[in-house]
Amino acid sequence: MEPIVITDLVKDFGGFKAVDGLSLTVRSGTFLGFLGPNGAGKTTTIKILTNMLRATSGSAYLNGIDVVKDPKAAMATLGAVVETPEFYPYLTPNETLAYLGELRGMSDRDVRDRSAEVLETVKMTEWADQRIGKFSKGMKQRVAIAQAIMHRPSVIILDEPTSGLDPRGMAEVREILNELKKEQYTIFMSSHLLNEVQEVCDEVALIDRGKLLRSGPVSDLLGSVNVHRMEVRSLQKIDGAWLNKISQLDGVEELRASGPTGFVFTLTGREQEQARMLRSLQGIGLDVASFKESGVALENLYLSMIKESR
Amino acid sequence: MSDVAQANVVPSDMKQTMTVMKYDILKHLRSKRLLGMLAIEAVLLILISALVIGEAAQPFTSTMGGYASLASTLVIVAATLFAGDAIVSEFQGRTGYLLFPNPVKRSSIFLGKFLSAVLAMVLVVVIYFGVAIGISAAVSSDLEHLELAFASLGLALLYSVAAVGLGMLVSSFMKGSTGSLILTFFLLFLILPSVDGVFSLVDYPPTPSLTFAAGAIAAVLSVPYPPETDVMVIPLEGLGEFVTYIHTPPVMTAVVVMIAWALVTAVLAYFLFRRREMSA
Repeated sequence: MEPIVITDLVKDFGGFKAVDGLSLTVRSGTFLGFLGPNGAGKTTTIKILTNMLRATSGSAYLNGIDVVKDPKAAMATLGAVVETPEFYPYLTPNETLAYLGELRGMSDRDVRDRSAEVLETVKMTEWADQRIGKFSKGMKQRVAIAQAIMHRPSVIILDEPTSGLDPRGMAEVREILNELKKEQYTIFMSSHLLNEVQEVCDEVALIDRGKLLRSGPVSDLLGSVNVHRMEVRSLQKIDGAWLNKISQLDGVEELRASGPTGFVFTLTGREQEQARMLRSLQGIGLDVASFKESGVALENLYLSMIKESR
Repeated sequence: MSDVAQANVVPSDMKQTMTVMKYDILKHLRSKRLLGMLAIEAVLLILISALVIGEAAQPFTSTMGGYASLASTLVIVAATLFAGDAIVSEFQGRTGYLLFPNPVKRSSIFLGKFLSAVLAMVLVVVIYFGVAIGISAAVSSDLEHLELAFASLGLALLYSVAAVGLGMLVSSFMKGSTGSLILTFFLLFLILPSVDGVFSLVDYPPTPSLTFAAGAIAAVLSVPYPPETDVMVIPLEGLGEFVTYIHTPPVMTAVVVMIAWALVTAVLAYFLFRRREMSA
């Protein structure tokens, strides 16, 4: 039985279909990155899975239990961080974990032991007995992750867990995600940060306008990337004449200058085409100081898929 | 993986209701609303006591009537504070993102919050009547009809439950906490009593009104119990007479109306809460 199964899911907000016939299966033990631009339907899908929105049609199952028909049972082995949750400001992290632990049926001893463990995991032990009302967004996000893993759920759903955090907070959360990956959770995470997804996820699902564009293992998808954004630095100053020469080369598209001695362009093809292009650039007399792919490969795939879908 | 999750048996709905109630009471305590309410109560008791103790000794029912006449105001303020934003705060404050993805039914969350508000109200009302009965017993010229003070307390508690229901109902459809608190307060303090007043002017008893029914809290201490309709004629110099009507709800009618309000508002509030989505 797969931990997450979504079939023909539709959510219609008064004529606007935020999710439009989405079908997706997440395999056990997978860390899946759920990608899409703003308004693609990621958060809506997650809210349906976490009992916050009702689907207009279709179905969503967690561990074989229909989220719509039996949300209480479906939520029992789920841990979730949706959007940026707020906490009851009058409770401490320990009290918050005790509250949620009690609702989830954990014994007092489990609650005590696991609270200490998960707060240690998210590096919040020092603040375990301070009221959350005064915490920063990063600290709250860490407590949110702690409550999501508190009861050792089999499925964890994370909705842009690094959203709104400063670089330090993002790095801390990313470190926690890497720790979670070492355990055998099934993790379903939406994110805008493609380098983050490429770093921690085994599989990705791309959606746009509520529809699934593509899904599969990250390595397979990256292997299928055929369009690359190349970034070149030269020893010469890149003026209009140079740009004109470069644009004449076979395979160069969307060329533009990038600083006084650099330029970027799109190249269709794989590594052989990149090697050929490097030779061509040198062939026209350009002293190439660096020649590399711009951005992450997943970003290129993402952008090309989104472009194709519109 | 999931060894603890599989070992956990999700508690019964009633146990989860008690858990929600427990932590909601903690909210009332730590948010200082309960303390603030008790402070307001203390001020009211001191003011009324100052008036009562300064006068010549009156019968118990008259002294106690002075306290009971302000009990409904106390209930209104308390219901506003404890129930006026109980539901909406989960949505506006985004704490629903934390609470809803848990194996707990909306009915348990609703009932837990309802019970915590009612318990806080009971505490406030019982303390108020306890002190009022004590002072009245000490300063009155007699101790006759002591049981009427307890009848008044019973009506005040019933009114509290109905007012909590109304507060939860308002809270279940309003978008913001402040608006919800204001609407709850003005519904009970101004809007419903104004409607009652208009009906009374035209000699039509506003029997189904909750605030009209709350009139029985003080009326029950009148010996004998006031008539259902009384006519008051006010002579206006050179303009003849102004005739108005004073309606008093019979006790049993008041009890039925309050129970009906408590049930209908609570059920409506629950259904609205159950349907409400975390869409923002």
